[in-house]
Amino acid sequence: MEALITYLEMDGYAVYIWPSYGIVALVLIGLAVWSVAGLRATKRQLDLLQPAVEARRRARHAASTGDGEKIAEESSQ
Amino acid sequence: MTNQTTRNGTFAPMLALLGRDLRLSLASGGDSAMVVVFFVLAAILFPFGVGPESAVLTRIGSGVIWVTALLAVLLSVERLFLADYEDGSLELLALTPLPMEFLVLAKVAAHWLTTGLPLLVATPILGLLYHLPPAAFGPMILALMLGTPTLSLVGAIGSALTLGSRRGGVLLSLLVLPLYVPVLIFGTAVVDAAISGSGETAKTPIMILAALLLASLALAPWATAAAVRQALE
Amino acid sequence: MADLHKFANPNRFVRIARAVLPWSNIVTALLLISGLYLALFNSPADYQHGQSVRIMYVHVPSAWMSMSIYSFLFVASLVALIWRHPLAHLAARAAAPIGAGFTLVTLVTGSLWGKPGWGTWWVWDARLTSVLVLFFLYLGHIALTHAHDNPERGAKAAAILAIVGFVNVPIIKYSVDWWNTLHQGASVIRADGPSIDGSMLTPLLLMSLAFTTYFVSVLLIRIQSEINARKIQALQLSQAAG
Repeated sequence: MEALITYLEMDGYAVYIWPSYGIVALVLIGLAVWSVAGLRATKRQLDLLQPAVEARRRARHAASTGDGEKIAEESSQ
Repeated sequence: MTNQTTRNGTFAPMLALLGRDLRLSLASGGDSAMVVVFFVLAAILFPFGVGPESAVLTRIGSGVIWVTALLAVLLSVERLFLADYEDGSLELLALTPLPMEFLVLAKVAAHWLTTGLPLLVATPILGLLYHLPPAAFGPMILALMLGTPTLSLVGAIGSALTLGSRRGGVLLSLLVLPLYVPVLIFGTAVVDAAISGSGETAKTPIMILAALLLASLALAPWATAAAVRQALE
Repeated sequence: MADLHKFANPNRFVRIARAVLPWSNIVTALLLISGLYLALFNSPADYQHGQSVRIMYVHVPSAWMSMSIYSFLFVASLVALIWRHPLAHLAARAAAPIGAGFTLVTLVTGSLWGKPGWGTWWVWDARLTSVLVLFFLYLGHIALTHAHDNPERGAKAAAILAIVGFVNVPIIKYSVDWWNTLHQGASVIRADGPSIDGSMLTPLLLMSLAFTTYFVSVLLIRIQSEINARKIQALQLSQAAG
């Protein structure tokens, strides 16, 4: 315990050393978390959008070949 | 012969554009006057802040004059392409056979003639107010003469980059002020050297200011032209 | 279907990124653990700086990163403007905030190291000043990429700015060096220290490598979300077009 405290005091440089490592941790972890969150958010939005657009494209394709007018109507509603 | 025609083909339209910009600036009236008023007024504020001691004023004079000149150029350079961009005449200008780089040069020249040059004229007054020694006036004017065109050229890049963006003005200062640092440093170095030492020591920063001007004259029009082109896409 | 064709290349990139990412994460973790262990527990105190030398192990690698990421930004911008490679714009846009983060870390840790070393939080030293200007160049780049409604335009404008800024960085560096010697007769004596000992060099290099692989990891993540954002935009446009 005693040893730990003397270690943490760093010969009196504790007030400079620990905030330094603190800001490194803050910025690096912050950037990583922010980036991962951004990736998740875009992925989620993409997963929502992609099926909708795909469905519509398929419906239009079916409509143009002449046997899917009903599907086209449904998807445009 | 062919050389002559191509030269006419570039310079005549450049001069025409320069003349048009100068006429517009004169017709709208007071653009240059406002820049000079800002320059003098901002510089006059400092003695109220730091006190009227002559020694202090002499010490900070060159720095204050340079910083306020820099801000005055920054304020005016925002409008460099904006009016032409908004009323669509920039697109028409881009359709002319004149290369965009020369178009940019003509507009920057017009900007310097309507802002940089009036600042030079007003500088001696500020020099008197700041108790600058008479020996410093010549180098100071020379430094501004070499430095302010560089400020216009670099500012033009920022002005073109922020065309059509949100928060144009604040963004422009964020983009351009870091790039202005070298001009500021060498510009004040000229005056400091002229005050403290012989004229010889002022030579080096003057040469560097000239080098900065030549480099930005060669490079800035390319960057500005690229920025204007992408703004018009 | 020109849009889809344009994303053929990024799709391959996403595959590669997904394959590389676990490895770069693991390597980053290993390097960080070993580097931090050596830096904080298993390295000597400097005879001049005392224990405060431990700040060096994060300060110097961050400074290296802040400069090499700006070089990366420059190269990516050149590639983007000259070869119109669609990924290069995204890479530049993804890298800028990481570079700004490392520059901020450099400034703050430098200030925290300067207080016990020089007795002041900040000196207008050439190095400090040019790093501060670098930080503003990063901020300008980030602001410009987000200032346009059309991300394509913001990316192109930011690429031009990155190139102009890169040309200017050596000029700024040189000018503040010059300015410092002119204004401060006795400029701040930076302890260059003894030729660095192996016991200090190892953690320094480990931390630098750790920061580099960290950059790779975060960059891969950010480029992927930039790709996704472009896809979302394209899909929304096609949806709006009906």
